[in-house]
Amino acid sequence: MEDNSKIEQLKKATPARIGIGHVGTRYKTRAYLDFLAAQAAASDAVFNEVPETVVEQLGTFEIQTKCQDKYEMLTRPDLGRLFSDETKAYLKAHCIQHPKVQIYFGDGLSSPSIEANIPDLFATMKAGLEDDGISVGTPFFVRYCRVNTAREIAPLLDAEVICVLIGERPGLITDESMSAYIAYHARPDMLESEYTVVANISRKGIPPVEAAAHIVDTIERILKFQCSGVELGKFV
Amino acid sequence: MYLQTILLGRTYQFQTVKEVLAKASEVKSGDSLAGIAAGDKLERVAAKTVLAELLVSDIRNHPAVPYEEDFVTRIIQDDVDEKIYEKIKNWTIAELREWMLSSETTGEQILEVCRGLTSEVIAAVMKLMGNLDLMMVSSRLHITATCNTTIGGKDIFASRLQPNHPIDDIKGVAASTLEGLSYGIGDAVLGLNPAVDTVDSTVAIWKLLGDIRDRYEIPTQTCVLSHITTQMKALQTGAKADLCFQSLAGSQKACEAFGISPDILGEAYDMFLRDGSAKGKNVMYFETGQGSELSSGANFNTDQGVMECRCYGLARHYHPFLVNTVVGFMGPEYVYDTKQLIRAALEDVCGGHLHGLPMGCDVCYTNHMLTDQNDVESLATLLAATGCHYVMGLPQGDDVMLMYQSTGFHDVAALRELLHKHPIPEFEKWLEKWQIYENGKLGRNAGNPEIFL
Amino acid sequence: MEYIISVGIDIGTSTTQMIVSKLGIENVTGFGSVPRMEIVSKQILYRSGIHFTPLRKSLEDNRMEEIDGEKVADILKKEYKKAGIMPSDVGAGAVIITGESSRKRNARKLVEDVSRVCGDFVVSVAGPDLESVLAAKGAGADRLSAETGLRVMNLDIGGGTTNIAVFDQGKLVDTACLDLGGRLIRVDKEQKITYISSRVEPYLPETGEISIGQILTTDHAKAITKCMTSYLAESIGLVLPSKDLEKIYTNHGLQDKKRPDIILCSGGVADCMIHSELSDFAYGDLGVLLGRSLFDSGICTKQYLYDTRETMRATVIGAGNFTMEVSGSTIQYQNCNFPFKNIPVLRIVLEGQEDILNLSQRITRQVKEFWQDGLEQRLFALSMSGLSCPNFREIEETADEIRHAIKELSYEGPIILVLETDMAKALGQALRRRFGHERSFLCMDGISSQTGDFIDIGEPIGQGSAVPIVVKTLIFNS
Repeated sequence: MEDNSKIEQLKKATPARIGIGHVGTRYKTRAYLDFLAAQAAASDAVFNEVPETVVEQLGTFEIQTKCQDKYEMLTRPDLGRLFSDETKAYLKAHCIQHPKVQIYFGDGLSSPSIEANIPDLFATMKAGLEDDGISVGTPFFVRYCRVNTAREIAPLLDAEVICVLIGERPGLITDESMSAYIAYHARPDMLESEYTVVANISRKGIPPVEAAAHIVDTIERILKFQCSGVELGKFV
Repeated sequence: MYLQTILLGRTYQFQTVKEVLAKASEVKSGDSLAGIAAGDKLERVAAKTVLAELLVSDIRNHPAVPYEEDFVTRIIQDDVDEKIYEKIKNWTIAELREWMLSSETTGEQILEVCRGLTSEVIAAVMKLMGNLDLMMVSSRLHITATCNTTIGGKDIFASRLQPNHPIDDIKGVAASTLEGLSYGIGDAVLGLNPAVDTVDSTVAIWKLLGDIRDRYEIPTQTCVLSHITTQMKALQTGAKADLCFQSLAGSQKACEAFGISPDILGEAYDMFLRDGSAKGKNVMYFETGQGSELSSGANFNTDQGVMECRCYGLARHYHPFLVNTVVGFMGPEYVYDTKQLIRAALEDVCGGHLHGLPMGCDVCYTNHMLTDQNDVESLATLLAATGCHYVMGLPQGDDVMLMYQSTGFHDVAALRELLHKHPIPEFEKWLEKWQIYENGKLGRNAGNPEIFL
Repeated sequence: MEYIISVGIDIGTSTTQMIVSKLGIENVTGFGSVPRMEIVSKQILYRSGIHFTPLRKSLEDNRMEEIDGEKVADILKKEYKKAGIMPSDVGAGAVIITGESSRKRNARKLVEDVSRVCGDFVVSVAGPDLESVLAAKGAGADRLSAETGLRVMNLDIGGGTTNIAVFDQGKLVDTACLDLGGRLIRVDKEQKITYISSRVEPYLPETGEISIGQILTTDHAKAITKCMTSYLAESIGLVLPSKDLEKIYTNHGLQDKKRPDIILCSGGVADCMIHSELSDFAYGDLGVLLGRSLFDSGICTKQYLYDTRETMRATVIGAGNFTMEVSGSTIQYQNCNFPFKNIPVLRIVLEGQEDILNLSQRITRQVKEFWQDGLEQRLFALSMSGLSCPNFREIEETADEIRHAIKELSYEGPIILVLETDMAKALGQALRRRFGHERSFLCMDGISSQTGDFIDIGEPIGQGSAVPIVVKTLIFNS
């Protein structure tokens, strides 16, 4: 039986935590624990590592930015985009050169987002792009990854379009959300506004397969107009 | 001007006033990221020691960005009351600190003297203050401002109702708003951060919030926190709102990254005075937050505490009704953990108050900081005790659009009860009428938005 | 913002009206989001005059009257001119033939006459339940209910019928239609009866027989309208039923007689309630007296009576503003000849992994059954509830099954898939991988439709990110 009480109607209108009652001025125990659980999951998503087994299951290899740990990753965005010379050489040796599109995965601010989204997201993207005759580079995983790794990796592998699938800052609705940052001819001195972004990819947001299909279209547009970000928006 | 000191047998030599200020700052990850923080704790104290002996005029004469290059500097310097400045320009920062903390000094006197101080000086004196010093100074400043109602006043602890929704769904926004009202939230403002920054959505939410305010005859004010130029265009359509919002930054370059200039701010201020629906003369609402200048590469090697104060110097030029720091939103690159969060918030509220601003705080954190909800509750308690004008009220403290956590509806109610604080008087009367409040506390209808349906 | 011009035309038993409105469609999501187009504004640009519906003797049976389609078309042609719009400007909307007249035999011809003048894209909808819903929405009943959380009933009382729709907390919960209206009897200036509808019979027994040419006294007319009022009160559950209510149902009564919190009145008779200055037979029918009788009965909640947004125009506003939807988050299409019109819908359950297994068989069976019904067109749209968050394999399997079914059926028309959940683009690309880039198909989501519905699909909007859709549903009628 559907509960059609007024308070239920209000609750249906928003994902916000309303209609939770109170004891004195404070939260009821159930609501209090629900909040703690969601916040704990969100916090853990940031500070926990992506297990190596997950990277293995994706069938990819792993590299690491100049950051040594999570603390450095969170406080030093400058290091989170750079790689050591050895890492760069390793990457170059293990990847196809000059792909049309280079896709890779980064933990960013949500470790669980990798396991939750990448299998469906990447498979759908790869199938869609290759069906249109667009070559996709060798995928890999970057630990302690910032979005701006794209500025280093694109020139290194000579990718025309770069797409990093990276964990988003988790909220209390989901800790598994990720974004795609896509850029045409990414390079160290590119502008932030050159990124095209598809955010909120998760089971609770845009489902990974749908997001992937949308990204395929977006990448095709980027290749067609040879630009990304704000510039791309000008082509209607 | 001596930029050198010997501390515990070690000699510390600094090159510039700016360097002294930066190194005298309490630890913030943003200052480390900018490469301007003290190397260790003792160097920090050495910088404070040097700072203590600098004169007010030394600080005024070394603004963060040169006068000629930066409109924020120009507004701050030009707004200084020169008569007052003449009287205190030769005080050392240590003297200024002790005068502010003295039992003989009144809040009115402090506010008077601060009209003769630049934002850099106000930031400087706070660098010589411990957390409780900041609280003591802040708590004796009584500042009011009037839009439809008057914020500030003895034992008033107000709240902004923040009914954000992932896609600005009208029903969803209304649902959170009614829930918040039922906990006594919203006396500072009913203010929404829109998911989409368009004229149409601004007009639609102005109307929604205005309709709620009018239908239930709520003595408060409304605001949509879209970009200032969007709100100006929305006002030109004939739609109405009480407050004009904008985020501020502490340098011209950072302001430009926000798409604002003195012309735009001045024009918006005039427009909302003339065409807005506010009854009073304070029609602006500003938000700030340590670290925004560095994030847009516009910090000019200045520490984020000084830059934040410069935002208040800019803000006071437009006689705002509300100003709040969004202290934990910028991320761990700028404010890393609880300790830094508490320090930044106390500095910001005290700094805003010293500028004569009705100062609130979004006591908040993102999930990639080393903080949790207990920290929010502790810090909000400190701020309420300090005389912070208002905090945010969100459904259980969770923002489902901006994805961060702040103070919840329940927290505001709890702090009022704990510290014997009250909503703005006419709002409290309204709450009593709906039996949301009874005898100054949550009443029988508290937490029951169905009473409005 | 993009705009679509929508036209609503209501050809009723007594009056014909038209409105032109501008529907604003905009992407409601912010930066970094997959776009989602929604109708965000509805502005009425033009309201026609209220014309008496031109009638003529039926060509087939000269004792019967029918609507004069050509004259209606003339009226609308002039109104288009006044409104300053061309048929080619019109992107959506509906012609709706309401009240008694919808049972007239020439309805189909009438719609053709009207379409010729009003533009190819204006669709025709009819059916008492849909009329009830449109009138109630046009009167603002749904919004009032959503805003107040109350149970709101709208009575749209016209010349021949009374359309009833009930909203609870903004949601449609019930509809009904009664053969009850102000124009079931018509008189000339001397109050001589010129027309008697066969549907007036239930209201007569206690008041005595009447016949064409007879003078209808005011007292007699009042007795009839009083009887109508009491039927109405009983049929909406305000008083216990004492009569055989079935007799006055156009199709059916209300399913749930739960008392509404607010009753709104719209339609021509409601308008008569407001205008107390009118003479008893001002419109040559029972409308004024019926209005007064209803007003005196207190059925309509008085405080809301005058608020009904546009009393006379509720139905036409509903037709103009509330028939179109926009597809959901994503679509994928290629080589489609938009617009598609009157595409029959076949519903297939696709909710879980297990539903994919024999999807091909089920599609094949259902389409073959549908083709056996001997409908002229072979075109169809498949409606699927959709998997809630499908994975890559499920999308691939679903596309395989669809390909299999299409092959089995030797179907060469455009493949039209209407999904409820967010998966249209992924499935569309999977289909493209199977059918190549030439085969015409359209995959869209965010739309719910049932077997028996018909859909119209317009030209893509929002840089191809969505399509406008009209789902013609016979609500509660199935």
